[in-house]
Amino acid sequence: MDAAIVAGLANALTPANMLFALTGCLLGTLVGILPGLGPASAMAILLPLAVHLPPEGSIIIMAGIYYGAMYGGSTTAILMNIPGEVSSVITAIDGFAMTKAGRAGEALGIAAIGSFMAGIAGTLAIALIGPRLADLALKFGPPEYLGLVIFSMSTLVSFAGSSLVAGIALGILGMWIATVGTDPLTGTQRLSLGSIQLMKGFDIVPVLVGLFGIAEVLTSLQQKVARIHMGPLGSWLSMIPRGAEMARGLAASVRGTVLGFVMGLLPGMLPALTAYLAYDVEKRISATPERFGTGMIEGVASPEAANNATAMAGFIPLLSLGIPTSPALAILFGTLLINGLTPGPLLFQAQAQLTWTVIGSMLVANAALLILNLPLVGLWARLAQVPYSVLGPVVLVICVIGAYSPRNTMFDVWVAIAFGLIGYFMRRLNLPLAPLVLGLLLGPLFEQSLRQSIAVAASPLDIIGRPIPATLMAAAILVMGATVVVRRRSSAVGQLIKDSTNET
Amino acid sequence: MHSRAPIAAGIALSLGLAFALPAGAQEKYPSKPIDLLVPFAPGASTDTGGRIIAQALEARWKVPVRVVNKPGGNTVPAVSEVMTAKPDGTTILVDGMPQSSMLDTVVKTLPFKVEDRTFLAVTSYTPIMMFVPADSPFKTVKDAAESLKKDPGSFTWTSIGGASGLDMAFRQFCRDNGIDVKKTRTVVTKGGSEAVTLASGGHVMLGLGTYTGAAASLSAGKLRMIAVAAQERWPTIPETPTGKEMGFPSLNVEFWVGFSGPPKLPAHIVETWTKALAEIVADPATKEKMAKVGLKDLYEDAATMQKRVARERRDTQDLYK
Repeated sequence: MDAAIVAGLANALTPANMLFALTGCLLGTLVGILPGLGPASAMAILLPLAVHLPPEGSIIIMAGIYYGAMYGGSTTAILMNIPGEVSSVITAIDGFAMTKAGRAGEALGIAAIGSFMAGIAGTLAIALIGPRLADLALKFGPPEYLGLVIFSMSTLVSFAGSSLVAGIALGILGMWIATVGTDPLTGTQRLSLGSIQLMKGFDIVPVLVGLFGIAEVLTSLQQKVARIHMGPLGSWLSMIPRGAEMARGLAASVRGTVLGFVMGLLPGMLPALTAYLAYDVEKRISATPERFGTGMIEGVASPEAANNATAMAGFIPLLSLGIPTSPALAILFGTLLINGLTPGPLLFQAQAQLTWTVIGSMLVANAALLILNLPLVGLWARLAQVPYSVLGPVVLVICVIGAYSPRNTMFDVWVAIAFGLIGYFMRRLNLPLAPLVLGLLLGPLFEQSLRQSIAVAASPLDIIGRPIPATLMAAAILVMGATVVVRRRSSAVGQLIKDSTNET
Repeated sequence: MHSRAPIAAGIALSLGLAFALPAGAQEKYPSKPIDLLVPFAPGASTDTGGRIIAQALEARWKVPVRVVNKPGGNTVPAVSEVMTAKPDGTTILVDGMPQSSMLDTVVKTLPFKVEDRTFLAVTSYTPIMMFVPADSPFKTVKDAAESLKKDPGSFTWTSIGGASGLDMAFRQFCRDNGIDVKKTRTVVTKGGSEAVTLASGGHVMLGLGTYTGAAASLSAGKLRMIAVAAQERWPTIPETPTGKEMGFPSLNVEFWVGFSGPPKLPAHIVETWTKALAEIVADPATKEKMAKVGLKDLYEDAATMQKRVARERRDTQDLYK
């Protein structure tokens, strides 16, 4: 066993495997920077390649794309207010505010440092608990998930913008949009109006590409923004935050890492969701919550660390239980199978050297990503210094490709354009986008866990009487109540909520 | 000058082609890239099974054979696209039970007829299996049947919703036991892996799925496999009996991967496909690749495939009355 760890780690340092790691990271960063094109679709496109590469090579590349995208997604979110990945949506709020204040360098710096920290800590955690963990995820049955989803929904209240009613209504609208298509229980059609296209439902990718990518381009074109990037980046050394700000950023990164990692062990907790939660936690524990949305370093550090930690954490249920917790990991699961590897607790023993090579390559990849994202960030940032008349159309084209690629259908392109217009008008009307997105993400999880709970429970007491769901639901009510009370009492907090939810 | 020769050759070639095209009654097939439409997301059995064949076809035919995933909508959008495509052999469906035998039972208002497609061949299958938590009181599938008969209203089992292979296997099990499936408690999950988790954690009484999905938990000792819903036992778990052996004769869902084309696909294209598929499936290298992703090679020609779909379709209609 010990010999296999050493052999595996050494194997990760062979030129071929380091090249695979670097290629994956480069592709992942690119995918992360391009709005719309997500890691899942990029991995899906590359899946046929996996057959031609050696097993460890294909897994290392796929994994590199997956967490590379988590790093890359923050770059455009911070510099251009266009999240390259859904998981960086929340980073844009304070990240872009920092850019507008001329502190883009520090924002990118802490995002890269936080991501790196989460990546390394995550890798070590995988190495430590991966082989030992098999029971934790199994404790979570449908009622426990229901509790978790309800708790996640309590964040709706704090993302609700200036009007609580409008925010909650938008959250419900998001859930409603998510129900269009095929009923997961009976297979019957819901709200498809007899259309074959609507039977597929709205995929999250084109909706987000529209709401964020296309709407952003439309808004920027209308505002006649000549250049998006506001401040000079300076040398890469000057990008590293200093003094008290560095300390605050690092502390937030640690909190984000822990939260993202723990939540990331559970299926359905996508990096986007944990980034939301991490941001919310930061805002709640901050001594100056009213300054969120104006360029708080915590608002960048914590969600960026959280989304990376979640991405890493997903490897634990995947490798040790064979449970993919997100679509991108499901594709990685397929990559493992194509290479003849069956994930499970046995994987760490039966394929010890290969498993440790992959884990070793995660360390290599995270180091590579730090280099790609700190000294080379200027390179990526040049994307943003291109005049908007050039960049806008390019972003639009990428959005269209990104909307098309996950399901290879023109319908999704029309959906993206429609949601682009919706997002544009929502911004003009000062309506927050966050609750709508949260509703879209949580709606299907809520429906599924509720219907599953009803199926397994003999009475409602079987659901709310269990300790984990009961605690989570009580916590959700407390949090919502507290938020409402604080909003009423303090106009400053009301303003913070308004500012933080109106991204532009 | 050197450059004249290739140009001259190019002209000659294009002239030759120009003459060849109208001259031959049939255009050589395949000469253009082929799209294989998979109505599911990448990584699913239908997808991996399709990709193995796509790769072999590409090597054999020297034209690009692309696997295009168009998931969602109960497979209707993807199937519909194949059904309305030009029957020139460039658009082919990676077929299977949900998109053929079960489709018109689940979706009543289909814009096409299921049996109108041009069947090509079946290439592989994976049987649906029944498993229980490791600490379950059910030692055999007969114990599960007893419990189902005694108290159907508290019997929990996993489905992936709508009409699926898993759902069908459980309905066959109910039918064999004379129980109305509507009385049981269906726990719908998003996919096979979630069903495995629920069963491994003891949250449901019976889980259904394929071997690939359950393999990890099985070797970790979290699950016990109690029945294989197929004609034969599964090679990697030879100790698990088939449903038939245990006295449940109709418990049989061989979740297959096959190929079909748009209606009225010309006979020479059908022949090219069935011949190629027969040879590819017979190749030991293919069998090995299939085994890696939990599929077993199974070749059935177009006529046999059509009979299979007709048989399964009748069974589905009976089960979803």
